[in-house]
Amino acid sequence: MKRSSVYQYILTFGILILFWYILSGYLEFFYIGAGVICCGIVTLISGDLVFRSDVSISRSARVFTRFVLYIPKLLVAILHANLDVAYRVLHPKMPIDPGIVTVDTSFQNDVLRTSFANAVTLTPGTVTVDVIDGRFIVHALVREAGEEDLLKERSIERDLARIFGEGGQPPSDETGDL
Amino acid sequence: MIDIFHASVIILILTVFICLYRVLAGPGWENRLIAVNTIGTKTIVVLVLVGLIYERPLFLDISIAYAMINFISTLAIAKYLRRGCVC
Amino acid sequence: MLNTLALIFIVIGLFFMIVGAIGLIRFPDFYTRVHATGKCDTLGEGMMLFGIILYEGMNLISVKILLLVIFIFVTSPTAVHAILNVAYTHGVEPWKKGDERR
Repeated sequence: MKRSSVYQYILTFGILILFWYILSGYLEFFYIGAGVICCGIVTLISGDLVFRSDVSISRSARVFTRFVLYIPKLLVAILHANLDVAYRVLHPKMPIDPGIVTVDTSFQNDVLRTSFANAVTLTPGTVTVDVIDGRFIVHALVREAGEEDLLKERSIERDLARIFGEGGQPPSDETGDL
Repeated sequence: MIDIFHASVIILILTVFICLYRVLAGPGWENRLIAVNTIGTKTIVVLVLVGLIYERPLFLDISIAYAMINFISTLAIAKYLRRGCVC
Repeated sequence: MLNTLALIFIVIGLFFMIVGAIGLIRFPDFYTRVHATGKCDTLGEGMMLFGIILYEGMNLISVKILLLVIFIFVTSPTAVHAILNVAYTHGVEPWKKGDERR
């Protein structure tokens, strides 16, 4: 466990120095030196924020890779949602029938809940309003379509469960941080 | 292409005026808050486009800082309204 | 060729941003307005900035704009969700079909 915490500090420092170089754009000694000092101070203060020490790096990397591979599907869903909203905005009669839908999930993990809330926000016609212990309160632009998507098909839920560990109930110490 | 950027900036500023109507007339604080947030996100694109038109990459850094300020100020206002203090 | 693609992306992004603004005016209550702005603005902004990346080509400016796009795609739904959550806890009533608009 001690070694993984050292790795976590080194990784945080590397990411910070990469950001420093991208945002400054100079490769001279003075600027890089100032960056090393600043990033060192920040790493000493808050090095345990980005990566957790109780999660192995390889598992985090695998989860991250699977999430990156999931992004194209998410982009298609986002485009579909936007076209849906644009159709409803521009239609002269505004075919909307809004209402509140409650979804019960078995997600225990905070990262998983956050991802599910964001994914629900990006699917057609639904926005997450509140989360109380795995119960999601969702506002749907068209109530029947939202119920159809969220309660019967549950495709987002299954995809996220597959990405962040097997089954809908991963133990909380096994999923990685993004 | 620069003409397209000019036209985009003008159209974006017109949409900012549309949102400004919601800020002035919207009933209650929640409509005003969402409209101000929308104006902020449009301003980010306007800053990037202005930087491209006048060929000053400095505007890009300003727009990154503006995006962060927009996000954090919205979160701070939401937290204040929820708990009564920013803490 | 690349410029044409950039032009297409910028025009589609502009379309979505205009739709978001119109939705902010037309929709009848707060929750439905959140649907319009929260979705259309995020995608419209992302598409416009992606078009600018295609126009600019590969250099440090493009990398910065790419960082900006990723930042916006993560933070914009979060900010919208924060406002929505506060409004819900303060008891803002959702609009139902047949009510008058507010």
